[in-house]
Amino acid sequence: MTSDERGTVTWQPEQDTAVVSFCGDIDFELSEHATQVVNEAAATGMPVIADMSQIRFADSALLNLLLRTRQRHRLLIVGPVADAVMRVFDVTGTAGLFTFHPTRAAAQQASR
Amino acid sequence: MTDLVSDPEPKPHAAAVKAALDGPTDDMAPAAGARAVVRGLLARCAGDTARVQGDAELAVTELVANAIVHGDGLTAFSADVDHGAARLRLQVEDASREEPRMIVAAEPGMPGGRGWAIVKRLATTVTVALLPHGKRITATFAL
Repeated sequence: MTSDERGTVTWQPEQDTAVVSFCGDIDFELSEHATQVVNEAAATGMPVIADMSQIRFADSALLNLLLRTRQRHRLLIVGPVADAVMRVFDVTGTAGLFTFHPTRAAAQQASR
Repeated sequence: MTDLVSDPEPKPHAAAVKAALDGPTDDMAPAAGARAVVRGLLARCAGDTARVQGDAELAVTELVANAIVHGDGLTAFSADVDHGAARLRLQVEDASREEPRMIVAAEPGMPGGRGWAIVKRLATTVTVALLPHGKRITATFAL
């Protein structure tokens, strides 16, 4: 496995929201960086949109980051989320705590 | 341990898998490496292993995370497939003799923990063996 397959987390302002884009494998080893990115996005005061549509793998560290974020900020999730990623929400009974949207535009619309 | 004896796969495979993580993989994070090992093993299995792959990748990542964060360090990892018993087996060893604990969340939305609970939900069997200098967690997945 090459370093190309490490996950990435970036954010950008878009349509009065702070869109955090996750890509690849997002696991506990990335969580310090992911937390920093999400915090930067949330610090704008705009709704945070977590685009999870490009995540191949996620663990409880990402779930915990999302749980911490939603406690203090408006958080919307963009899918579609891969089956293996949805599994993390399902086995922990936390799916109902989040709103999942089929596109970024739909999430941004819902955030207004 | 009779699983390994009846395993038609050559025994060195499990050792090679273990060696893969002990060897020159400085650029490969252990959890990512473990997931790659799981994918490699399941790629050799017949049938649709997508669900098992997802579950095993998640479980192994949670186990490796716990070993590093709570277990005083990951000391060994191995994985093998027993085709006769149709099981994938993961073994994760750490340097702590403290048993894994479930974190009881006060409310569903409370962040924290969950790794051990996830492993127990996903694996077919989970056992904990105390070792002289740590412990080994063995999780199996029906194929």
